[in-house]
Amino acid sequence: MINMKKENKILGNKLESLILDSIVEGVFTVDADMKVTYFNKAAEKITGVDRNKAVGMYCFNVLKSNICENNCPIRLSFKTGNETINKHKNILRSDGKKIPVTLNSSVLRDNEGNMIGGVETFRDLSPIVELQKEIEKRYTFDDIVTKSPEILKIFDVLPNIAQSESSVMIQGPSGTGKELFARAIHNLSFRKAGPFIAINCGALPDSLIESELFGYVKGAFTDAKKEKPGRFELAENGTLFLDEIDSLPMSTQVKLLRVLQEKTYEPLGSTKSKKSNVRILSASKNNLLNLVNKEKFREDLYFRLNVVKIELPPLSARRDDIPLLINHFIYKFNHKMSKHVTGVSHDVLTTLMRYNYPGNIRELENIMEHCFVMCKNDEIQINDLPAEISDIDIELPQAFDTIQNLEKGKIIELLEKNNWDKSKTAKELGIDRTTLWRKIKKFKIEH
Amino acid sequence: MIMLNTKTILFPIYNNLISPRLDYTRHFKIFTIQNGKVIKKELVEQYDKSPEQILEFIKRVKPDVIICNGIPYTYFVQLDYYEIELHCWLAGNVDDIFSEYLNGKINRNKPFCISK
Repeated sequence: MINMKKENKILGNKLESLILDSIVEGVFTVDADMKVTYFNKAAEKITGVDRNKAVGMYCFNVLKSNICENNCPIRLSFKTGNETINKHKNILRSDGKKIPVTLNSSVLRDNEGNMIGGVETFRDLSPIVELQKEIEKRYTFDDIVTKSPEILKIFDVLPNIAQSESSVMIQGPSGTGKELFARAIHNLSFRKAGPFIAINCGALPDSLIESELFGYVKGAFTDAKKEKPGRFELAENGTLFLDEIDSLPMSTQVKLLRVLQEKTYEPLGSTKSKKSNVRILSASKNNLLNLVNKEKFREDLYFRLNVVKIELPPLSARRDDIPLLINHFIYKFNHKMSKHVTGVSHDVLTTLMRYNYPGNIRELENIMEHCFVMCKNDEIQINDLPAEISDIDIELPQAFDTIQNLEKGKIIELLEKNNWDKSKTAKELGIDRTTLWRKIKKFKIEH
Repeated sequence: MIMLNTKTILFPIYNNLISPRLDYTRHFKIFTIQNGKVIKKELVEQYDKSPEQILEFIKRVKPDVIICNGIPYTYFVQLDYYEIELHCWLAGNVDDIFSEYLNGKINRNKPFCISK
C-alpha cells in the first residue's frame, strides 16, 4: 500500500512537472530569501537562463527585470500577503535583449498556511508589443540596431538634439532609416506626448502639397466642400516630419519658410492666420546644399531647416551591422509569421555580408522577409535567398583578403610571444586594449 | 619619475551586491585606484532617473572600467565605443568581486551570444 502511494506520488510529481513544462508561461518559485527553488522550461526559454543554473540564484539575478530593485512584486506579496496580477515589466534576456512580459505573483504557503516563499508566472509579450510598435510606429533608440562607430557618434549627441527645439535635417540614401531616426528623436523629446505627423513631399503632386501641409477652408476651391486641417494643424504641440524635402516646389518653400520664421500660417482660402507650435524634422536623400547651389532649393530655407544635421551612412559603409540586422529581422519575422527560424547558414551570412545593398537596410529587410517565406527549416539556406542575390558571384578583391590575413597573423604572433597578455600585446601593436579585444573577436582568435 | 597608474572602476549596486540591471540601478559605487591601491570610494545615488539619464551619467563620469551584471546590448555597444573596459553578467558581493578584479581574477568575458 505504501509502495503504491509512493508510486502515485512519484507519478503525481512527474505529472505536475510535465504540466508545468508544457505551458507557455514562465513559472518559478523562490524561498523566503528570494532564491529560486524551481524554474520551468518556459522560464528558461524566455529568460535564456539555464534552469539548472537558475535554481539557487537570487531571482533578481535570473530575471533582471526593470522593477527588481524598487518594486518587486514578490517582495510586495511577502509584505502584504496579496497577489500581484497582470503587472507589466521588461526583463533582460541573456543576450542583452529587453523582453516585455506581464506577470502574476503570490505567496507560497505550506499545508498549515505558513509562508514558505513566493511564486511568479510571467508571459512573453514580445509578439504583441512588436505588432503594436509596427502599427503605432513608437520607435526609440533601442530599435536602432547598430555598432557602427558612425552611428554611435550620432547616438552620443542625439539626446541633446532630441531635447532641444531645433530643426533637424536627416540626410542619407534611400532605406537607411531616416524616418526611424526621426521617430526616435520625437520619442526622446519633450514633445513625445504630442503627435508625430509625417508627410512625403515627393509623393504628392505640386498642386496638392500646399493644401496637405496647411489645410483649407470650405470653398477655398471647387471641391473644398468642407474644412480640412493640414499636417501643421495635426502636428500641433508635436513634430512634423517632412520626408524628401528636396521635392518641395519653390512656391511652397516660401510658405514653409514663413511658418519657420513667424510661427504662423494661413490655410488655403482663409484670411485668418493660425499659430504654429510644431517642431520640424526633415529628410533628404540628396545633398541639399548642392540643390541650393543649383538654385533649386532656397538658401534661407535650407539654413532654417539645417540647424542640426544628421548624416546616415549607406549599409555598405557599416557592414559590421549586417549580422546584427539579420538577427533583428529574424526576431521580428519570427513573431510576425509565427515561425521558429534560429539563424542563417554560413554561406548565407557570407553572401549577405558581401552584397552591396543599393536599397540599404530596407533591401536587407526585404531579402530576409523573402527568406522567411521560402525557408522550410529552422535555418535559412542559400536557396532561400532571392535569385538575384544568390546568383551574384561576389568576390572580395584578393588584396583585401591578404591584408586581413596579415593582420590576423601579426596579432597571433604577438599574443603567443607575450603569453597571451593582451595589455602587452596591445601596447606593442600601438592600439588600445579594447581595440585588440575587438580584433580578436573579429578574427575568431582562440587561445 | 614614478608613473601613477590611476583607474576608476564603476559598479552599479543593490544592497552591496552588483545590481541586476545597469540601466535601472539606483546606486553606483565608484572606486578610484592608483597603482593597485584604493585612494577614493564614492557612493552616488541616481533615484528616479530614466535608463537614458543613467547612460548619460555614466558617459559623463567616463570610468575606465565598469563591472556589472545585466546590461542591454545597445548600452554595451555604446559604452564599448567609449573604450570603457566592460565586465558584464557578473553577480555577487561588490567588495568580493572588486577584490577579484584587483587580483586579476576577472577575465573579460564574452558579453553576448547574439546568434541563435
